[in-house]
Amino acid sequence: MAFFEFNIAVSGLFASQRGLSVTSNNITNATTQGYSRQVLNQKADQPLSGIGVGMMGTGVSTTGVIRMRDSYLDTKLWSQNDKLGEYRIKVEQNSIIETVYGEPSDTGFTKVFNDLFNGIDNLSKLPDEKERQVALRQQMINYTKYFNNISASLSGFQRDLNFELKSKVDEINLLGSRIQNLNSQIYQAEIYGDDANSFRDQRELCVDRLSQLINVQTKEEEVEIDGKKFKQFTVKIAGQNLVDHLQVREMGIEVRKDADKLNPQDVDGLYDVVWKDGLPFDMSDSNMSGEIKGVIDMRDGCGTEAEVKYNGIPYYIKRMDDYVRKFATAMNEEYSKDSDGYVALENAAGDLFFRKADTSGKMIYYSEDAGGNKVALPSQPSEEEALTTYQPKYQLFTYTNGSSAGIPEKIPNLRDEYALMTAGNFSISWDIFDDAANIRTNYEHYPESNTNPNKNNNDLLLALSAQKDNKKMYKEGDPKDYMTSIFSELGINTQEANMYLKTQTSITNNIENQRLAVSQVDTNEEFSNLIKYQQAYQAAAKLINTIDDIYQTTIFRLGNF
Amino acid sequence: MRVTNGMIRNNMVNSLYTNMSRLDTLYNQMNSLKKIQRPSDDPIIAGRSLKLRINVLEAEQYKSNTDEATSWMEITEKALGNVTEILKQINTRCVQASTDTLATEDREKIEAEINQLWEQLQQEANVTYAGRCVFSGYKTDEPPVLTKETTLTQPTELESDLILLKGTKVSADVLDGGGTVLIAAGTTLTEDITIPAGATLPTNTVLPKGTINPNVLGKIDEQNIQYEVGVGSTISVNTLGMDRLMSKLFADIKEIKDGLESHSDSDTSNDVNLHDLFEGKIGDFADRLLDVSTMTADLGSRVNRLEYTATRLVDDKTNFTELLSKTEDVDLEEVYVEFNSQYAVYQSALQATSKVIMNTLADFLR
Repeated sequence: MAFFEFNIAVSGLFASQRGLSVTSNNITNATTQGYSRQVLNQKADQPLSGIGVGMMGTGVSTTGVIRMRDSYLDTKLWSQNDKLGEYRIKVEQNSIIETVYGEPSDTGFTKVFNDLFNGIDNLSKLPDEKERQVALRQQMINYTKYFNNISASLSGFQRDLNFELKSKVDEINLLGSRIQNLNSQIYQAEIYGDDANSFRDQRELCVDRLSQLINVQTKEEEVEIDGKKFKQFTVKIAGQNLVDHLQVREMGIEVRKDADKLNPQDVDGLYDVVWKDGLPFDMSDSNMSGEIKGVIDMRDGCGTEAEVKYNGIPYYIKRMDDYVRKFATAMNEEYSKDSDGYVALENAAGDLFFRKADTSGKMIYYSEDAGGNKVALPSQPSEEEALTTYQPKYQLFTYTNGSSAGIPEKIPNLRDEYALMTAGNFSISWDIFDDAANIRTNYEHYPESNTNPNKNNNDLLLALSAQKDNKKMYKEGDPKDYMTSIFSELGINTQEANMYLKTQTSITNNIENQRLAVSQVDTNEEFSNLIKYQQAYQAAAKLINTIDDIYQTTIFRLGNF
Repeated sequence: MRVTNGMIRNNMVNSLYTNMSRLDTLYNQMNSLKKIQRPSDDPIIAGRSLKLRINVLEAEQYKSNTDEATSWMEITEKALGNVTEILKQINTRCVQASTDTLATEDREKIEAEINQLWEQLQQEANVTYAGRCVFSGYKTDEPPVLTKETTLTQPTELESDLILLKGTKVSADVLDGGGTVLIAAGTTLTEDITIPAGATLPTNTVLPKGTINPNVLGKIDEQNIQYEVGVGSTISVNTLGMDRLMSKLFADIKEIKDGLESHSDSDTSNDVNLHDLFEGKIGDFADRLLDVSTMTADLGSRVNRLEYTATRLVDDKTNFTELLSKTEDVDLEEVYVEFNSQYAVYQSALQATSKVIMNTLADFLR
């Protein structure tokens, strides 16, 4: 049993040295993202028995460097992170949409709307004054441009979101392959029963990010191969496997064909997310969440009747399209009337027809005979036929011909409920664009034949002006009511997203804190550990010193060499 | 629970964010003096303020309409007042003429005076507002009485009897409603002729200055020019009836002039006729004065309504502006106090943060 004490003391030296290493590692990684503090596990060595004095300790051995981590808290955080990501995107995008409308302010819709009707009103006071005609035309142009700009901005945002979707998909792929890579490293490291501390830290950091992008489900299963136990880690996103131990699947994007557009308002070339191995990825899955969901909802959402039900960008484009179509319909209809209330209509061939409601409110269609008398058509068209056959002869508002200069279409087709008109191409009509003097001011004013027997009659302008308060123009009420309803809806949506974001932030912060409580390096604690191990080291060194002294005595003094 | 200084730091940063975002909101409110910067700040306020803003602008526009209508009506009122004065003067002449035995120079003097007064009447009837004839209905580019020699550009059917003046050149036959030729083509009139209603003056007829405008006479009866002075509420700014009045007055004056001229023959037996003529005309002018006063009364009542409307619109604007301000403007004192207390909270949070994360155990180790 010679030098037995030396061995014991040396084990103490080694143990405290390892303790110092672990402490140093903790201190240096105190600010490393995702790092969990590590502790050194040690135990007393196997005692010796059978030497007649009972069990005799043999020193200390270190059994492992363990990271402090509660995987339950990880799972809990991951199940909340997706909503945080989703609402962060929604708050961001809704706020951007809010700025487009420029309300509440003195420069947004309120301004262009009032200017338009003040223009009509001002012209009604002096209907043949050139300056007022030109002013009204300019105000009409400003009015149409307001909607053009909104539509262009919204479409631009949709395009931006499309690119964002692509970069999110790329990020998912990157994280997927990182996780797969780490799975393999962990697998190899743990073959020998070690705990792959920092690899696991890194893997969990990857899932932290992934869980913000999309809802994840993780599973770590123990499998037994040849009597050895291994852990296999699986990550599912939106219910489908992304990483299964050492296998990883890749996501991709495909350009959506024009025919497959989700909403008619969508810009061209939107991406669909797909699995590269050919399996379908359901983008409208209502169980999906995360930043990807936020982006898809904002990019594709077109209200409750659409495939993607959120009020996203297409929804607001749709509402704007709807606004300009109904507005143009009501204004053009009024604008085409004559003094007897007959609305002048044209079919595709340019023939003249008239429409007027009879006493029971039923629409009757007329043509004009050689003497200029209105004769009811022998076969009256049905409501749908009429919609597809006729359009108002005189137009205040039509749409542009697609040229970059924004020139109005000369022969617009407004049949089929103005389907070709959108907020993006909304424009004043060619006649008025051509010459402001072509604005009809009264029911007997026919600009095409230069007939205007009563130059200062303003009855038509007054009727147009009254459209401002036409409660029947929209199902929401008059034009102001319609726009107010959009602003309120947008405001409420943003507010709601904001509220969710706040709640979700506090939930995740709370879980994050619980996780930190377990895992984070605390410098105070590490400093005290430092002292602990330093003192242990000093004590072990002192032991060696003492034992050395003893052997000095035993060997050199007792022997009398 | 284990609490690490990292957790304290995180919490500190989070609460600093919360503090700063509150400060930011208050700062924006103080900067813009508006409660909300975007609809999501308060969708209800956003919707209401949009409507109120439109109401304010509408009231402004209606107010400017009433101002323009007032100017128009003031000019009309002035003209009607002048017409009344002139008619009274003509009446005075008639009274004088009917009581006195008229010497030749007296008759000439009366005729000259009446001619002069007729000129003045024409000016009043043709009075304009911003270049528009106020008594011509919708046809504001056509004066009720021609101010210069005028060639007709299209056949004109007469709605009312018209006196064609000496010097009128007719290029084609003037037909009455039944197709009978009243004046043959190529004639230049050497004396005034009355053409009945229903007849048509052909294109290129040259009408001398002073003719009652056939495009206006009798054709503007319903042509009320409407100005919008409220939602669904209009007021007519022009006064109708001047065309017919002028036509009648012209006939009256022509009768007087004809009477005076025919009297210049030294046949004294006509004296009685002249006396009767003036007596009769006194009655006629009283009728014309009644017409004018009816027009004036009608105008006066509209001016009243306009004044009342204008006052109400000013009130409306004030009310809407006040409501708008109540809806979206911040109470400065309140925000200022709130800002200050929030600022104090922010300061103390900064103070606390700096204290807590300053020291670690390392500071106390030798």
